[in-house]
Amino acid sequence: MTSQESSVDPEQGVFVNSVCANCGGPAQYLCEACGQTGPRYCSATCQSDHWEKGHASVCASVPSGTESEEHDNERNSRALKRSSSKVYSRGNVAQLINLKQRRSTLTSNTSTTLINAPNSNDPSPAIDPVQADEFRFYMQQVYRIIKPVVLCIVLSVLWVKLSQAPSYFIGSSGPGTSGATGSSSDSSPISTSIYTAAILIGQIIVATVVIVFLFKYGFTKILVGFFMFVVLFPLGFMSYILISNIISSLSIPLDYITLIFALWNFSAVGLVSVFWKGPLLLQQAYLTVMSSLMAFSLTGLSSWTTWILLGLLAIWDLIAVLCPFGPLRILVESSKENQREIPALLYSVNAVWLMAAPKLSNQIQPTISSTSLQTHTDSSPSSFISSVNSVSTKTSAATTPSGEDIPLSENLGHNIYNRNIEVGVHNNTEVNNSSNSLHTNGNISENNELSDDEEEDERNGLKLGLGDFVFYSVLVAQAEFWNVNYRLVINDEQMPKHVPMGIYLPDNCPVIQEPISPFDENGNQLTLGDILHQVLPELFPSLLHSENTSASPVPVIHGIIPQLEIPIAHGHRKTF
Amino acid sequence: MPPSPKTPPQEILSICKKYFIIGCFFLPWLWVVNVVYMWPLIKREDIGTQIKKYLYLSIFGAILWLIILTTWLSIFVTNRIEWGQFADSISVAIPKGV
Repeated sequence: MTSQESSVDPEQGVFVNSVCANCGGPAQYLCEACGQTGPRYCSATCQSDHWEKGHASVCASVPSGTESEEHDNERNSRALKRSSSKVYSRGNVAQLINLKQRRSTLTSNTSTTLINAPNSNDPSPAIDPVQADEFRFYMQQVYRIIKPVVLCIVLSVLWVKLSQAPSYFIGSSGPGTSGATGSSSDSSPISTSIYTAAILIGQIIVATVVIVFLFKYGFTKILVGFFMFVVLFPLGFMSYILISNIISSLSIPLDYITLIFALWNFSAVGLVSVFWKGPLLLQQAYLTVMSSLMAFSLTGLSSWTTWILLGLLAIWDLIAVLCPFGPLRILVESSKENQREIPALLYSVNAVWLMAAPKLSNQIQPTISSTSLQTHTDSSPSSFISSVNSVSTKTSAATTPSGEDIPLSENLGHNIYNRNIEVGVHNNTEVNNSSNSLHTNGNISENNELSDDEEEDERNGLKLGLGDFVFYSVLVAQAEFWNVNYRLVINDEQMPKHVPMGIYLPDNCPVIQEPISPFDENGNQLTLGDILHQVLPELFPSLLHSENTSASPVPVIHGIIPQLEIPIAHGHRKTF
Repeated sequence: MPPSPKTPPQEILSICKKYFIIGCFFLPWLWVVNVVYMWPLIKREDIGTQIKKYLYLSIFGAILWLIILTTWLSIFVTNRIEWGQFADSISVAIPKGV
C-alpha cells in the first residue's frame, strides 16, 4: 500500500491533503491509481516531474507496485499522462473533465479494485464506474444540446403552421404564405432556384468576410454594432412579419400601437440579454427564438432554393473552417493571436459547451481537459454554474496556457479547434467568469452567428453555434412547409384521380357520396353540371346546363352557389 | 438564474440600476426581467437596501404598464368597429366579417 501522505482518511474520502507532491502548491488532482492514498498534483507537469522523481516505482498502476487501491472516482492526472499519447480514448479523456462535477455528483466509493497494470494506452476495463460516470456525463451534455435545438425546430414548425392557416383577411399574407404558392408551382425552373441560392450564399460569404476583416483589424465597435444589427434584424423585423402573418391567419384584431410596443420590448430585452449581462435562461430563450425566426424566414423561399442553399451552406462551412484560407479559420487564428474576443452570439448552457460536432468531440476534449488542467485554479464548484456565462462578451485576459505542449500538437486535422480551445482556456484570474474566447463554428447562418468556445473551469460541455440551430430548423420547417402528405395526394399541377363528393339533399334524404373522376373517358374535364346530371338525373335532367328555370334545383357549396360550368377538378383546391 | 454569488455586489447593484434606467424607455418587460432576475438577491447579499428600491420601482412600473396596456387593448378591441376609419388605419389586419 503506497501511502504517500498518511493524513488522508480514505473512508470519508476527504481531501485532507491538498498539497502538490512536486511543487508544494495547492493541488486539486491526484494519481488515479493510487487513489486517496496517492500523491496530489496541481498540474500535469508536476505529475510528470514527480513520476520521474520516483513515483514511477511506487505508483499503484505499476505492476510491481501495490496490489490493492482505494479506487474512488476522483479525476486524476495519470489519465493526462496517458492522453499524451496519440490515441485519445474516451476513457482517458473524460476523466479529466469535470473534476468537481463528478466529485459533487458522486459519493466516494471506497471499493477496492485491482488495477491490472494497464498499458499507457489502454483505457479502463469495460464496466467501470469511471466510464459509467463518463457516459452519464456525456448523456447529460447531449441532452443539453438537443433540447434547445429541438425546441428551435418545434418553434419553426409552429411558425410555419400558424402562418399557413387559411387566411380570410384583407391584405397581408407575408412572405411566409406567399412562399406557399410560390413553392407549389414548379414553373420556376431550377436555374432560378440555383441563382437565388447562390445569391444567398454570396451574402453569407460576404458577411463572413466582413466580420473577419473587422475583427482582424480591430474594429471592435463596428463589429459589435454590426452584430447588434444582425441580432436586431430577426428579432425585430422578422418577428414583425411573423406576427402580422399570424394575426392575419387567426383573425386577431390588433392595432399597430400595441404591436410596435410589444416588438420594441421584445427586441430591446433580447439585445440586452444577448449582448450584455442578463439571466442565462433568457439569453438561451432569445437565441432559440431568434434562430427559429431565421429558419422561418428562410422557408419563404421556394423549396428547390432551400435545398440547394442548404447544400451550399454545408460546403461553405467545410471550406471556411477547414481550409487554410477559410475566413472562419482566419477569424479563429486572429482571435488567438490578438487574444481578443469576438463579440458573438453564443449559445451556452450553464455548462460550457464544446463544439457539437460529435465526431470531433473526442478529439477536442483531450485538449480542453489538458489545458484546463494546466490552468485550473482554485475555483469553487457549483456556485460557478449559473455564473456569468451569460456574459458572453465579457473580456477576460487570455493568457496563453503553458500547457500547449502535450496533446495539442497531436490533433493535426483539427488544429483549428485545438487552438480554439487553447485560447478558451485562460485564466489564472480569480474572476468567477470563465475565460471567454470565441470561436466560430462550422455552420454559419446568414447572420453569422458564431459559436463560442468558452472554457469554464468546472464544466465542460458541448457547444453549438446558432448556425446549427438555423440549419436544422430550416430543414424541418421546409419539409413541413412542403407538406408532404398534401403533395402525395395532390399537386397543383396534377389532377387528382378522384374528387370525393358528397351530395346532401334536403328533407333528410340519405347522403350521396361518391368519388367522382374529374375526367370522362375521353379525357375531357367534367363540370359540375355533368356530374350532377349523372348522379341525379331527375333533379338535373338536362345536359344543357345553361338552362336556368326558376324551379330547377340549385347546388350550394359552403354557402356559395357555384356555376354549373365549373370543372370538378377544381374541387380539390382550397379556393375556388 | 440569479447572478453568480461571486459577482461583486457593486456590480450587481449597477446592473440592477442600469436595467431600471433602460426600462424607463417604455420597456416594462425589462423591468419584469429585472425583478425576476434579481429578486432572490434582496435577502441574500449585503448589497444594501438600494437594490430593494430599484426592484420595487421596477415591479410597480411593470404593473403600471400592464394596467395601461390592458386598458388600451380592451378599449381598442371593443370599440374598434365604432371608430371606423381611424381604427382601420391603425389595425394590423382587418378581420373579414367585422
